[in-house]
Parts: sequence; C-alpha cells; structure tokens
Amino acid sequence: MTATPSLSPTEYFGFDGAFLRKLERLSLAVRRPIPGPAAGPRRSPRHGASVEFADFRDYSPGDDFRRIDWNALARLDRLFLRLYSAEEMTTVTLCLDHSPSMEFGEPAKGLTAARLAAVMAYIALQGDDRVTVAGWGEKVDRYVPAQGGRPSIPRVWKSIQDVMETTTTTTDFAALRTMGAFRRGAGLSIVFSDFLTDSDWRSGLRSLRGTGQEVSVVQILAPEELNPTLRGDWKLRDVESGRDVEVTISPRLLRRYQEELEAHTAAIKEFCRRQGIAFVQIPSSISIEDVALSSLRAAGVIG
Amino acid sequence: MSLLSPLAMALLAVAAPIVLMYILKLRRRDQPVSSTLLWRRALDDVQANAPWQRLRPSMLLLLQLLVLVALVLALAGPAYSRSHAFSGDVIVVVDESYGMQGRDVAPSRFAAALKRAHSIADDLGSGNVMSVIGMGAQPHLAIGESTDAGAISRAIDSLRVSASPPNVLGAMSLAASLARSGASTRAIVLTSGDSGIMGLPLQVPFEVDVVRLGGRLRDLGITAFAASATGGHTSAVLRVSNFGAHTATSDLNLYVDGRIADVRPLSIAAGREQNLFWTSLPGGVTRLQARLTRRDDIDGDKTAWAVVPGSVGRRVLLVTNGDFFLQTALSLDPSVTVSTVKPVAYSPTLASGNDLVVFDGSLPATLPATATLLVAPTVGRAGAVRFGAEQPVGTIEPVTTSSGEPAAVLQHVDLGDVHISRARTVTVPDWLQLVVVSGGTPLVAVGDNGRSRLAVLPFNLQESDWPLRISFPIMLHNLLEYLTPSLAVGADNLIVGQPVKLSPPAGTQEIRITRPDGSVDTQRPPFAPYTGTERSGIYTARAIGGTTRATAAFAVNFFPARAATAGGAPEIRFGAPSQGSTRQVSVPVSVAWTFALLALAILSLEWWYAFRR
Repeated sequence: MTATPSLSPTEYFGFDGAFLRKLERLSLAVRRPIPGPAAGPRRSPRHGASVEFADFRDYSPGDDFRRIDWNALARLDRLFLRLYSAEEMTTVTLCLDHSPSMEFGEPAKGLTAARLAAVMAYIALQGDDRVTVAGWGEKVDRYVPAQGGRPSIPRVWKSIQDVMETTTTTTDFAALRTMGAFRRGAGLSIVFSDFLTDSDWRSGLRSLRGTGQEVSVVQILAPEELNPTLRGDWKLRDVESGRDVEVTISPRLLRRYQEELEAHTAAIKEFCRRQGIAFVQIPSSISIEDVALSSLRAAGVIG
Repeated sequence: MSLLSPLAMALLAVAAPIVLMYILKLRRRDQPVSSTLLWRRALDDVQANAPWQRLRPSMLLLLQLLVLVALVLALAGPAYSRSHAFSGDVIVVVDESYGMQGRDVAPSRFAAALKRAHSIADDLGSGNVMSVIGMGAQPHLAIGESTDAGAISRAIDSLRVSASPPNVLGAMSLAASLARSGASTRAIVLTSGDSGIMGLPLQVPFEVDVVRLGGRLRDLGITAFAASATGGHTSAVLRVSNFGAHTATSDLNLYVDGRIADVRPLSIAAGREQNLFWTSLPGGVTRLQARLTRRDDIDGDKTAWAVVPGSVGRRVLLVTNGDFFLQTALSLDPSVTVSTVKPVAYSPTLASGNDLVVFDGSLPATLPATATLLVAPTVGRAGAVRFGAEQPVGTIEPVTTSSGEPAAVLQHVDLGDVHISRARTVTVPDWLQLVVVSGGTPLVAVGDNGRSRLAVLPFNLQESDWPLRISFPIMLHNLLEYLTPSLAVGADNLIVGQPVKLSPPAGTQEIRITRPDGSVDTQRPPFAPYTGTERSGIYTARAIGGTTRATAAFAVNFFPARAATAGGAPEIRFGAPSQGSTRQVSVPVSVAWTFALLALAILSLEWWYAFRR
C-alpha cells in the first residue's frame, strides 16, 4: 500500500472542515424502508410510534386503545386502528475491495475507494446510522463490527485506512456471499471495486442482495484503464493472477479495448438496474468533493 | 528443368526466420497492469507465457512461405532446355527434284524434308537469319535472310517437288551468295539419298550438312527416248534403266500419235539398262509416247514423249540455171523441200510461201521478204548490199570476232582444206556480219535486218573445191538453220527443267507456248529462253506476227540420271567450318518471370487476406 502508516486518518483522507460541513447536510439514500436494530432517523418497513401516518386496520382485541381512530368510529360505527411508520437506524456496510489491482492508478483506485468510504461513513454516522467496514479480496479478510454515533467517526475512518493499507491476493466476488456470516439483518451495503476480475461478480452481488441488503455499487477505474496511453509492443502482467499478455498496442487494438470496456461497464450497469442496485463508475482521478456532491447524488447513493 | 543460378536456392533458408517469427515471441517490455481482463478480450491471438509457442496452422505463414519459395525460384532462374540444332545463320536447301518423290520415307522424302526444315526454323537462334532455297532444275530463293518465323514457315510450305533433276551446283552457288560476312553460317541440304551431291566438286566458304533422306529407290524408269523419220518410216529408240536393288519387271506400251502401237515385256536386272528399237513405225507420225506399267517409288520416269523431227518441213525455192552441188546439198536435209526455177522465170510472187529463196548466179532487183541466200551474185545491188568485180581469193580464214548465231554457221566446219579461186567484192551494211573472209574480202556473211535474214556467198561454187569437202553440206545445213531457224532450236532430248531457246521468225510479236497440261505461256520480245519446262510432256509453240514457220513442238522428258550409291551416313558434313559455329546447342529458356509473377500474386493475396482480417 502506498499510504504512509504514520498518517492520521484525517491526513490520510485529506478532508478539511469545510468539506465535512458540506457532508453534514447529506444523508445516505435508500430506495425502501430498511428495518433496523433500534430506533433511528430512517424509515422502517415496520409500523411504529412515529408521527408519520402509515395506514388503517381493523381493531383486534389487545390493541392499544390510544391508537383507535375515534372519528372513524363516529362516522362508520366501526373500530379502526391508526398505524404510524416506525423510524429505525440502518447499518451501513462498506465493502472495500483491497486487492492488488486497487493499488493502480494515480491517484490509486484503493485510495479513492477509501476516501469515498470515509465520506459515506461520515454521512452515516453523523445521521445516527451504524457503519460496518469489511475488507475483501479473495475472501472477507477484514471485518469491523458496526459502530454508531459521531464519536465513532475517527475509529471507523481508521478501520477504513487499515483495510486499504493491506492487500489481499486477488479479487473474488464469491467473497461477498460470505458476508451473511459476519452480520445479520437488513441494511445498506456499498461495494467498492474496480470489477476487473474473471470471478462471477453477478453471483456475488446477487447473494449480497439476497441477505436483505440494499446494495449500491461504486466501480472505480484508473485513468489509464479508461484511456490507455501505452503504444507499441508490451508484455502486460496481471498483478493479481501474474498472467502475462503480449500485445502490440495499435489504434485498432485500442478501439477494440474501448469496445470491451464499454461492454463490460454496460453489463454491470444493466445487471444493477435489473437487481435494483445503484451503480456509479468513478475515475480515480476525480475529486472527492465532486464525487460526493454530484456523482453519488446523481446515482442515488447519497440523498 | 534446370536452374540457372542454383546457389539462389540457399535463400530458402530465409524460411527459417519467418517460421521462427511465428514460434518465437517478440521480446517486449514488461508492464504490470491491474488486470489483463479487457486486453485478453481485445486480443485475437492468445499469448502464451513460454518464449516459444506452438506452431499453429496459419494462412499468413503459408502465404509468406509460398512468396518466399516463388521469389527464390525466380532468383534461381528455373529454365527448361530447348535444343537448338545449330547456332548462327542457317541456309536450308530443300531438294525439289524428282528423287524427293520417293515414298521409301513416309509419307515421302519431300514431306520429310519440309518437316525437317520446319524443325530447323523452330530452332533458329535469336538474332540469326534463315534462308530457304528450293533446289530443282532452276534453284530459287524461297525466302532470304529472314527472322520472321511465320514468313519462313510459309516459304517452306511454298516449296513443291518437281520432276526435274536437282541443280546442286546452282543451289550451292546461290547459298554461297547468301552467306553474311562475319556471321556464322551453316547450310543444311535436305536431299534424297541418291542425289549424288557428294560426287560434286562443291567449294563453299561455310560448313554444309547434307541430310540424305531415304535409301535406294525402287525405280524402273525411261532414261532416253528419241525418234526420227527416214525413208518413209519412223524409227525410235528407247532406254529403260533399273535403279533399284532388285530385278524389276514391267510392260512398256508405245503409243504413236495417241494410238497404242506396241507392247513389250521387260525384265531388267538391278543396276542394268535395256535399249529398245523400233524401225518400222509408220511414216508421217509426229508424236510418240512410251509408258511403263510398273508402279514403284518414282512416278515421273514412267512415261516419256518424243517428237519426230522433220515433221515440220522447210520449203526452199532455188533460183538457178542448174547447180549440182547446191541442189544436192539442199536435198540432203530431209526436212527441206526444194523447188527450182530459172532466174528468168523468177518473180517476187514465187518467193511467197517459201521459207527460203536461194539465188544462184543471179541477183534480184529487190530482196524477197523471206530469208534469202545469195550465191555467186552478179554485179549490182540488192538492197543495201552491193556486189562489185571479182577478185582472186587468197587464204580463207574465219572471222574470230563473230559471235552468237552467225558464229554457229561455222559450227563443225573445217576451212583448212577449202580453196576458192575468185570472189566478188561486197559492200555490206552494218547488220551483215562477216563469217569467213580472205584478206578484206568477205566470203561468207550473214545478217538479220529486222525483217528477214540474209546470207551471202559471193563466189561461184564451180570455182571452188568447197563443194567437194565434207564441210560444205555441214556449212549449208548451218546456213539453213540460221536462215530458217526452227522455233525451238535445239529442242531435242529436253529434260524437265531445261530451258528451251525459242527463235521466232522476223516480225514475231509474241510466242504462245502450250504446256502439257493445256495451260499457255506467252513470251514477248526480247525472247528469252523458255524455262517453264518443269512438267514432262509435249509442248507446242506458236509464233504470232512473224513471216514463216509459225509452229514447233518439242518433248520434255523426265530422264533421271543414274542414281548415286545411296549407301553411307545419312548425314554428311563438308565445307569450311564457320568461325564460332557450333553443332548442337541446348539453349536454356528461363521461366523466372513466371515465378516472379506468382510471387507477386501470392503477395497480393496475402495483403488481401491480412487486410480482410
């Protein structure tokens, strides 16, 4: 990892106060109510005691008399019970791909992923949600249990930094299928990866969503992956598989590379659309402020 | 097929690096990347990690190797050998004589000769010329110094075999005139196996290859045939020769004026001949024909013709008071019919209808329009000729400066024992040529004034001993031949191809010669010897516009000379070798351009294939 171990999380992520104040006005977006482990600021699919009316139902013996709608009884001569939405906290799981491929790019894709994760953790924690950090590669090798409350922000940031400062051997989306073993219940999972892998990312994402998680995907690609600058004869070595590919990079081959990249991105985007997964592709060279305030909001990851 | 530059085949070793490039991976710079996922998908060729990769079937590799092979073959200069029999200029002499009619070489000697000539033309070297000479009785140049294969081929095909004997000396003389100085020249004579060319004294400045076609012919032929009229009968003599190697038998049919008169069986041993005589054939016949019934290798010598001489007579009017010697000498010629008249009874009207008028001891006031012989004229003038007083005659001597027909008057005439007492002086015009003189006094003068012929003997035969000499009737016969020439002079025993001298009477405007096949040749002044005697048979000539003797007939026969021994090598070479000449050359014909074009085509195909990918 390229980060210097002596850096504090604040120095590592490079956030200033003004940026953090902007983040305080944001919240993580969810497409449907997510039941949480405790009361919180976020709507829950369960009916609760909030002030937000949700529905009516017939009265059953044992129900709380205080929730009977007396006006309806006067007009219809029947007993209806007024139901209100519950507001519960959500557990946000930041799934960070810290395989060797994430070290590439200028700045590195891993660093960009870490800073985005830090931004989202900040937004979640200052909104009374809980944040879990999971580092994965060929398996989930780092897992930091959920923490909540603003005081947890430095610890969570440190956890993110720790994850990204270590690397695994390769990327295998099958690792996401084991996330259920680390945490239970519904929640919001945000997957950070470059998706440059031969592993079955479809199965991984589908499994993650099958555990009741609302999933968002952030694909991070380096500028040289988006627009390769190499020309001529090269032996390209895959840093994860160690596999060499000899290429003579010609304009014709570059055109074919761009076609493959577009097809790969389109396949991920189409899969996410079908699965109700928010998807955003982020160049590692873009500024975090722009990502947080525009790209993530446009993709529906941040509300 | 051979290679002009076989060392170029070593360039095939270039195939090794080409194949190596397909199995040896390019040494490339290492570049770690986050993933090769997209690159692998973008690439057609999957690379292996090993420095060598398995050689897979590749159309590009195949095409490149084919291009290399084609280029190397083009550089190596593949060539096939084309055999050239000769280098340098070639003069082909094709025998057109009767011997080439032999069918002992299928289909015939002449056809085989033409085929050989075509083959020589095909092998003619670049930059060399070829001439073709037809060797018949009259050698002719079919084509001279040509490099045009088509024209040479047509010239060869234009040659025709004839019934004439070969004129080898004439043909070789013509060939010698065609030899280019400084150029290698070779003559090839395609002749029959028994042409006898080797027995001729040929001296040529180049090498001559004689290709003798065929061997000894099976030939029984007529080699001589002549007829004469004597004593109211017609006699004939005929010779038949067997040129073959075995005894030959045949019947000989004799036709007289188209009707068969005799049939004689013949059996002649090999190389022998037999003479046949007929002495009592009917008189008054004009034409004889003899025919052998045998069929063998030569057809042309199976039939012969003869014209009976004297069948066309001369009518002579003798104006004399009576001269025994003159009248007797004239009557010795069987073709002469003499009528006599006294000088006092002579009138010019009597001259018409006669071929010759002889004035003996008299001088007409005007010379007749026909030929005239003046013997012992009186003093006076006859046309441009003046006769004066008589003078003694000294030594008699012929005029050596005389030439042509006038000189023939003294042919076989010996004047050594002739004495003349006196002779009259003569003033002769320019057209009269002196033949015999004594001092400055003419004794015999002949000439042609353009209208008629005149001979003058200005002395009295009674005052000379010449009539007692054997030379007198000979001289008189010569004078008759000169004054009343036959239309076909010396047309006895003509063989095919031999020219005939035609002597038309004065004033003749044209001569029409009817050939045996019925075709007509026409000659106009000046009358050159007639050379159209390439067919055997009887020719008739008729003078148009002349005064007398308008017709003549002569026989042309195919009398083969005795064949030479046909043994020995079929091809003989003699003559002076030309510098730089070679006998058999094998010329390689390069086909490198074919492989160069093939390489270009494969290269285009490779480009198209690579571009299509």
